[in-house]
Amino acid sequence: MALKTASNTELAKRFREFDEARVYIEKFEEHNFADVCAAIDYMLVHKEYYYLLKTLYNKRFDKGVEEVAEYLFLRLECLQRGEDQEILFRFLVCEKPFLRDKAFFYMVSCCKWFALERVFGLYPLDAKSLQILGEYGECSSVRLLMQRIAKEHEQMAPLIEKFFSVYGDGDA
Amino acid sequence: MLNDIDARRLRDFLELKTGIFIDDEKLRKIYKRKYEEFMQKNGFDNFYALYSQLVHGKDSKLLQEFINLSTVNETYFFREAYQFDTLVEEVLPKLHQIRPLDESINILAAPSSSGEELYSIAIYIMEKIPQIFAKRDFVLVGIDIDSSMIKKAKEGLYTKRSIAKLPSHILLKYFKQKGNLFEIDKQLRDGLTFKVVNVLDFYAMKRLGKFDVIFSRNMLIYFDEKTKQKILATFHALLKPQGYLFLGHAEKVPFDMKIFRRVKIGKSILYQKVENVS
Repeated sequence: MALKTASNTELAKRFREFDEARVYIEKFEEHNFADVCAAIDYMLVHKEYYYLLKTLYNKRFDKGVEEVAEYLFLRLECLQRGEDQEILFRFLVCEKPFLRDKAFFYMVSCCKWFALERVFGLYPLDAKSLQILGEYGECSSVRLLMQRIAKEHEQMAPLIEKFFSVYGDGDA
Repeated sequence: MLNDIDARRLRDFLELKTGIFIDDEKLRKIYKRKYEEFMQKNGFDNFYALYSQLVHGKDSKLLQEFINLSTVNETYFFREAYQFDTLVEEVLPKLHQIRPLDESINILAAPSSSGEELYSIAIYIMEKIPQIFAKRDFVLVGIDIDSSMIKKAKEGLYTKRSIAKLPSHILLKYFKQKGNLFEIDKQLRDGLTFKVVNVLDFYAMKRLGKFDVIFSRNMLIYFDEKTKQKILATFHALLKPQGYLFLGHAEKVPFDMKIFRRVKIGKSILYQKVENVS
């Protein structure tokens, strides 16, 4: 056989109108994932962010939602509009841990546009979230938060040390 | 000639157009001087004349040259060859088994720079898995935002430095010396496709078609976190089911991904496209 030039590669599916694409999003569990992604791409190009997020939120218990959410959050630009952000905050407190984590990761990646104080009012500030924040949050608000945590830790460490020096670390 | 504020404006404009971000230190130490030389070479005596030409898109050739100025094109033949070993010893035999025989195996290099990586892949395929190459067509495509690199890739002329890691029998078999340069075999040159495409242009990327393997080594490190994620989603959209993504060894992907499975094959860590895993 041979090395062939690129004229014969198979093209990805492309939608022409909203109603054609929405079927694949509103019933993503019935369709091929690649086609669902193509429908998401169509909606993103037409800036149907609220529609996408709201539909995904309403379908958060459906089979296949994790892959659809992951693809959407990766492709989604940093949204600044209030109502888009509000629905993203709903993901942060929803019943599905995977969706909560993906929404958190998205907000960290877009940390310039999200109030971290509010994010951590809803999402646990623990070792894992701090690691994600440090590795993926590229903005000054992350630096400020890290400095505040370091300072608090610095203040708390001697108190904890004092506790153990008095009571020891075994069962009393 | 160019003050710091204006240099930053050019830097920010570049990021807007290409997604490539240059930090303040590199801007001050390297790129400010490059921008000044660029202004001088193109006959601009003040910043605003250049900036308005770029922003209003009146001169696409000028814009392309400005973009070319800012790309990094460090590459050579057989660079990080352990990934090519994984490709031909493990990945391609697996794909050969699961894909119909009348379907070509398509490989994308994004970015391809001046072509050394994609030509290396072609040579590896022909040399190491001739039994598969004899039975199946391969489509190899290289893309880069830098038009001068794509021109160089199509010409296939390389310096001694580019070919330094090649074993002598490969050099003799696939290259012809032309003065100080080495020209790659015409059959190879004609068999590969190189195009100027920006990885951030989602639909230009989609028009390239579907691929079994994507090589994107040492590019994501130049983008901010959100842009990286968008590019990963684009690669996912371009990969065929169970296709593979090769990244540079230092490149970081989002944690806990469902649409890519992180796998260690041979000495390489790579990412396999996953669909409908629920």
